[in-house]
Amino acid sequence: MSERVVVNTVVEPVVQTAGLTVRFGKKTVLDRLDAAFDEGTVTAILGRNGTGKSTLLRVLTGFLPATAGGARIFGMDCWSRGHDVRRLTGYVPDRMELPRWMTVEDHFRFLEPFYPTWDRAEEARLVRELDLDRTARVRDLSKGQREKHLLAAALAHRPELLLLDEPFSGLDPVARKQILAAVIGHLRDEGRTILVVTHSMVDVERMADRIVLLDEGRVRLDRDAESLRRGLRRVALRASPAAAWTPPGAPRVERSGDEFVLAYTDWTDAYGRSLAADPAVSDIRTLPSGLEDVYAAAGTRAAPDASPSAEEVPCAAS
Amino acid sequence: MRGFLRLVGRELREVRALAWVLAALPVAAVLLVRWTMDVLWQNDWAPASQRPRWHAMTVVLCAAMSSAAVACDMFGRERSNGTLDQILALPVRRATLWAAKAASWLLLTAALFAVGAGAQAWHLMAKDGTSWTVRWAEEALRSAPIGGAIVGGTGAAVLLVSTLGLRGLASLLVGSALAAGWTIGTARPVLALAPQVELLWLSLSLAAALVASLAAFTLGRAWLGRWVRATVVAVAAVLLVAVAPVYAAVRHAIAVTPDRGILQDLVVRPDGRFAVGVWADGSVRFSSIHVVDLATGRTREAASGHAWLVVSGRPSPYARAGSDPWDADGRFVVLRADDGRVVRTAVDPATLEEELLGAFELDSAARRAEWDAWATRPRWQPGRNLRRTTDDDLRPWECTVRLRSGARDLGASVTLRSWQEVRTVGDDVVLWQPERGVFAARKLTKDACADAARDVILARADPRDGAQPPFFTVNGMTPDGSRVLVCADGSWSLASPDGASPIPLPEGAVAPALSLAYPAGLSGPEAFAAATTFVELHVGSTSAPRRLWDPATGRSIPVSGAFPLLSRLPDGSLIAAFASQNVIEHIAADLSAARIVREPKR
Repeated sequence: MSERVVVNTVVEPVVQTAGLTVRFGKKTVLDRLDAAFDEGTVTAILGRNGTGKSTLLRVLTGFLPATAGGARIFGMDCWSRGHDVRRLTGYVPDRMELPRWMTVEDHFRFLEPFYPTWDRAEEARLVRELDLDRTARVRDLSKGQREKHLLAAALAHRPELLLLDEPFSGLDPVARKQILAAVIGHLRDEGRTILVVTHSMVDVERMADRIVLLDEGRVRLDRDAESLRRGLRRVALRASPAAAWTPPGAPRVERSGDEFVLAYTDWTDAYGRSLAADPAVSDIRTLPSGLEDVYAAAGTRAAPDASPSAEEVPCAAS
Repeated sequence: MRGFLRLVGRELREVRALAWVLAALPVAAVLLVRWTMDVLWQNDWAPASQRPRWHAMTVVLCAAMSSAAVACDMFGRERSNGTLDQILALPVRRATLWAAKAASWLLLTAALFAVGAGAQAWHLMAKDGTSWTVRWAEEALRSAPIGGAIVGGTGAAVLLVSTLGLRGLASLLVGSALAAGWTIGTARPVLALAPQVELLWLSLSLAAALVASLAAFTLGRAWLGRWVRATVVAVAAVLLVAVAPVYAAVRHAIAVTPDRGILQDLVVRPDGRFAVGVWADGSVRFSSIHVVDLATGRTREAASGHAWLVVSGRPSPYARAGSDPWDADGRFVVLRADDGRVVRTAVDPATLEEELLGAFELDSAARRAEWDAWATRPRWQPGRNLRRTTDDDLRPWECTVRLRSGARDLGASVTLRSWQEVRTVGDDVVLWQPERGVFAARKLTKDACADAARDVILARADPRDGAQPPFFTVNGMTPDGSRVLVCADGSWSLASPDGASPIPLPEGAVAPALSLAYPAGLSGPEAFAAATTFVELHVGSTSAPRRLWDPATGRSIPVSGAFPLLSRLPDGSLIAAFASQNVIEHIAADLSAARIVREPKR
């Protein structure tokens, strides 16, 4: 079951998809996706492998046409005006073939003519912040250095929209923290819009204003990060008789005999009071939880922490 | 624009080493062939008039194939990791990216052609001055459609390559191999390659094609499994091993079929019962000896052989009758080159039994001279007795030849102009040569060549307005140089160097050619002395049936084909064998009637 959320905003969203569907043969990767991303927000797009995250970014950058529906950035159709979209967008793909024979400087000079807004001062700042060696050849860069280089190349033209696809996987924790603070923080301060596909909950916690969870090509969850963080709660309890018992709200439920684990994404104190007052419930314990529980809580098809032995019970609509 | 140029620069820079290797392969192959031919034939591997074409063709082909290799890399390399625009992630239209690719490819192709053409021009200029350069340029233009076809074909193949990646490159190898085979196929008549070289080349081409096909097949199909792929490779290996002998067998089978060959020689036995013909296959590599029963018209093969032999630096097709082909028992004596050996055999036309009389290896100048003397005298051929020494200066209308008599250098040279005939008679050379307004015969002796020539003026004509010589053409000469068929301003006549009056041909004679009838059983000087001159002509138009005209009697008779080999039977009647049609006709002595003795197989 999907949770379709349409964000209503006063100003026109920077990115908007409407009924966006992408199929590869018989496989539907994005399924009637409706989403909107406002200016100045940092949105983390989560999801298991193959749920359509990178496909969404490829559609947004104009590299892939939609099978049905469409996507617009700054009001421009992403496919028919892909080259205009890319001019306003910084894109860091998860895998990119760079000209290995170029130096970092050569690559900047190669890219510069294609972007009217290329800013050499910004380029210099990024080179400094990211500790890049302009004279180094691309083939000699480590994975982390290459990611830094790609990030600098994507940002030097001061894009209005930044699309990041697994951008920091090659960075050590210190560098990752440094980049998030110095680069992404700077962009956020400037009011740029960022969409980042990542599996790192640490990164999500550090930078995301909003979290979108994709599952089977649809939006399973779309919440602002702070409320989601507050609403995430895992509660273990015993209920008797188990067969007839239903929890308050719409948690994800794992049951083993009369033992229940409830995973909430919208926890409120009212649920706690309801459980405490329920005579069928005993032995209530709050389990540690964080953003990584969002997969389980949202009921994606294969949550990372789901127990194979657990009997999954679909939660009733609240 | 700056961005576009940077894209072009990137494309040029990113051509992979593998592509350069593939691009270099055709060049290396052609250089190897040239080197081989130069070594084998001392740079005498093709007639001088054909060399500019071959040079130009090789340059065009090399450049085209190299360009194709680069194109396959340029257009195909991005496919392995995604499409071009996604890899570069640039804010440009897809068409711009492909245009940059196309521009860089064209730039490289132009450079390849320019380098090839420049190197060729430099080579020719350094070697020969500028005389060949213009000619070469003309030939390069003539060869351009070939290169264009390859480049154009590559353009179409690029679509395939761009979807196949590495397999596409392998496909290119297939194309290159096929192109190499095609080159050999088209160049073969010009180059007259030795059969061994031709076989080697064909085998290599096929091997390359098969290996490349296998590579293409197996590279992308790991799912086939080890054993399946191994089986495919094994089958291909067997095919490769079998290719050469199968090809040789097929060629030989074709070669020994007289209906597919060209009649080189026809000698009638003195009793008039049998004629023995020597056929060569279309490429004049293999010869076969066939006995024709003149009573029944049946032809039987008596012997066949591999008849490739280098004489005066040029392959010559020889198995031929010697100067005295009939021994005392009525057997036909023939000399053949057979896989490097020369064998002399006697064939009994009645039984087709063959007896080896002797053999020798062609491994010394003396042996070669022996062959030359035995097999060719007295049927002199200009190519053998007159050796060109300055071929590369040859222009279409002029060449310089050095005079030899057999293996002996006469120590003189003479410049020849077009449309003239040359014969050597003993130590003399007879030149029939058109001059301005005059057609003259010169008889040169070994002691006093051109300067002391005895000029005999045979005809005069006023030059037409603005016309330049030659306006005489020679359409045949008797081997001893005693008569020549000459055309001046459309009128044909027979002439002789002794100053006798020209003999006019019948009114309306068109495109005549000279033929001689040799008495049965005779050959050599005696045969020439007793030969009768006939003229083959059309009357009225070239579409009219050919006729054989006897200038002595003025009678003529329609005949079946062109360029007959004529022999006189003991009763005075004629046997006419037509070189390319494989028809033999029996013609009455007075040209009053003719009947076909042997018809071609349909």
